[in-house]
Amino acid sequence: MSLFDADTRLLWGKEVQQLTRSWYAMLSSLVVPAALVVVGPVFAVVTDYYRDYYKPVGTRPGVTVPQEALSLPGFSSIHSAQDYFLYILLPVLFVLAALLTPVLTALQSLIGERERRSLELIMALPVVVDDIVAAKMAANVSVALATILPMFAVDVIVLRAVAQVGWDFVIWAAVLLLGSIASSVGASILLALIARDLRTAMSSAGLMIAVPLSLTGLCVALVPGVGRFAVLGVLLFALGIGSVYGGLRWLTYERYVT
Amino acid sequence: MNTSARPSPDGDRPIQIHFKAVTKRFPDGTHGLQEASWEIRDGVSACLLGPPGSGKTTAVRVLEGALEPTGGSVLLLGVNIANRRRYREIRKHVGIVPQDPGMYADRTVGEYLALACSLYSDEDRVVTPDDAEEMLGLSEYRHTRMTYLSTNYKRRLALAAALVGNPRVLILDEPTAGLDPLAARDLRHYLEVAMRGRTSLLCTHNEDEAHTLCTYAVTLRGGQVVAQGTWEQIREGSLPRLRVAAREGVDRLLAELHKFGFHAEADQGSVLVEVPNVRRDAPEVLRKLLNEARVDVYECAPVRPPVERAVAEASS
Repeated sequence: MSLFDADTRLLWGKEVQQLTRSWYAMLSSLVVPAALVVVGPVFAVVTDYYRDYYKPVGTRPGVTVPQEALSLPGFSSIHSAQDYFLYILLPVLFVLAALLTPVLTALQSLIGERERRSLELIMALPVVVDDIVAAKMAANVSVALATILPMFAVDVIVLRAVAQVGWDFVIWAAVLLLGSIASSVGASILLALIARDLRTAMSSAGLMIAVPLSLTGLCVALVPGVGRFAVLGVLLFALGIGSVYGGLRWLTYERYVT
Repeated sequence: MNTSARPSPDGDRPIQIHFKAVTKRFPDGTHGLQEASWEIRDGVSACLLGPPGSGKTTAVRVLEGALEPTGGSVLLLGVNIANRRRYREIRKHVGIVPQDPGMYADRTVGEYLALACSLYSDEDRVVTPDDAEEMLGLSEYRHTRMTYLSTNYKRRLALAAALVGNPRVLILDEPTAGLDPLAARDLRHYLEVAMRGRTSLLCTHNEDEAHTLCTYAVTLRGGQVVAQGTWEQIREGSLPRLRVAAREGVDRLLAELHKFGFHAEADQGSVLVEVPNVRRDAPEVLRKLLNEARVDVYECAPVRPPVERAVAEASS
């Protein structure tokens, strides 16, 4: 299986075309990451920047970190609401966005094709199942990257200008996004091999992304500073690769096509 | 009934599809195929016959690389399909029409055929998407979305996609299943043209269709090969019958034969009597009818059952 194989490239083109023609897929690809990667972070950073102009009315409580949590290494560098947002909330938002988007479109593409029986049609063409699955995953990653990376670029501009984060923060945040996408691809492959129909796959998706989300919680709590982005990104990347390898090694393609 | 691999017609030609003691066991323990051995030679139109669940589709899925045998080996165009690299190469010379495939909602007939065309290598491609559309009467539907086609045209489209690469081997999985008789007849005409002179494997449970389109048959039951050979060879392998006709008519003949304990049935104005050994038993049947039943028999001759009956007998 090679993504550079001519047949896989042709199938990749077909998959990308199918994804971009589907309103459902495009909305999933745009709305979720837009809310989690752009709207949330930009709003949080900008409102924190102008906090002196917009005094809170009354005695609405702010963010309170429990005393016990402050003893965790991940919280040692949290000194302000902005730190709290950048190092505690932002990684969670990034992981959620990059996990959910590809998994939703990939499940439609992988299991939806099997349910519509159009998989039979494509299997009859002179390609092998490895090419079909590789093309589908590559197409989903391409669409995820094409939507999330420009949004991330908006974040970078705002975070650099307003929150004055360093380039190390930007680079490791990008690694985290890529690791989350890899993890999402792994979860999709596993779900496509395990679940017999789209409904089961959708209802099991939450369970499947619980592992990367738990890892996120652990890294946020235990790894201080910007290092949490790096550690989490690498872990999620490894999880994604491991899921793809394990799924194809032990569950095999036969489960997908039968 | 001989179930070992009989030589296909044109026995000196190379074998293009070869199943050697192939077993496919699914994870739930059921067998799709069990020690199935058969071969199809170059240029032969063969059919895989058998009731639903007999292993026909499993065989096709093994050939299209979707399933891996758990035992034995499969050679397609002389290449063991377990060798994935070489299989990938020879797959360009194989056209497959799947059983009742789903259609893409967002893709037109022309777009799909263009994709199929681009997946075949240029040197083998002698048919353009336009040719394929024209050949199968799809030209006016070029810009129609695939899901809007009628069932008949969906099958034609699947056939057109299988033919654009001018394949050396054509595999058809129940191409007319679910079609009304007129549409099936219509499609059969295209199948006949497509299969002519080309190594073809038609999976079907329709014996008439198989008899019309193929010269060689492999009959499966429960994943095992129960009969294979040319139609004549299959007929020879079935129990012989005596065709008996009498002036008193079929009903009287049947009644008398049943009274004597023979298994008989009406067939085209006469009666076919099953006897284990024609030479030994024919005089006995004739004597009983003439002397004891006092029936005026004017015909009594050994015959082989029709192909449909021979196939049904083999697979029952």
